[in-house]
Amino acid sequence: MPTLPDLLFYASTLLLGAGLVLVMSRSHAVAALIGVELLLNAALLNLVGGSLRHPGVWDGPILALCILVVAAAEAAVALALVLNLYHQRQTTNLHDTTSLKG
Amino acid sequence: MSIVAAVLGGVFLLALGGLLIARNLVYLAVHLFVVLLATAGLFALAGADFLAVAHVMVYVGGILVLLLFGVLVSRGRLPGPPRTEVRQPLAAMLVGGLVVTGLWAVFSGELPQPVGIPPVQGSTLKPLGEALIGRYLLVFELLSMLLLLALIGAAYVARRAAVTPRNTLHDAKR
Repeated sequence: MPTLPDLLFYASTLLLGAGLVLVMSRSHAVAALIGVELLLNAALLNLVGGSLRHPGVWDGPILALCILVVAAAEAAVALALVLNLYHQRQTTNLHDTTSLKG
Repeated sequence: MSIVAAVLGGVFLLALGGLLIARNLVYLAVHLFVVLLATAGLFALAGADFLAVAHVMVYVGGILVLLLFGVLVSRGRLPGPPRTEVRQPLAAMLVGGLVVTGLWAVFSGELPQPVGIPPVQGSTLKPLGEALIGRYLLVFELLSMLLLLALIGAAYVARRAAVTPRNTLHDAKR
């Protein structure tokens, strides 16, 4: 039976792996964004699991709150970019946006 | 506690598997919802009550709605459900599997174990709020500025540019 910090670390590892797979293999922009959210969630879980080892120190939870805010800002900006992409190209497929390709 | 942890872990694993299998974007969002709820449950289990509630509010109330909104708006009149293509799943699975294996080995290895976690006494709301207004005040203010600027920027980027002519460079080259 793993301890609670170990459980959080294992969960964060799995979230990191799933997020990486989604970011690398899905071609719809929103699906890739879901992967990015999973990566940020993995960081959150890791911070909370680490802060369990140091009760009374608030660095971990405060940094987790920072990541929460950054995730919200990132989702807003990324979806604005997706909407703009759709308005300009009528597609949200990341593999169709290759105009910078050499 | 261990029963709750086991149930949460099972739900978490199932939803994570669904997230990797699903091709329909709406199913992806539903699985993400369950993963986020299970994560918030893990936070609550770890005694981070404020973080659990904030997590549900920000992710489920904000980001998930935003993602679904993005799927809806960027579809036009395409028939059928919104689906995502999958390119090179084996390579992605390989990289993800390697990262998970490595990190798993680290976490199950010789980490210094805590001498013993004291049980959570009451809510973390008061000490967290005092830390946020006291020692971490600059961080708090910078975060609020970051969020404000990012939202203004997002609104600016997402507006429909009706003034720009349609035949810009990339339209001409297509």
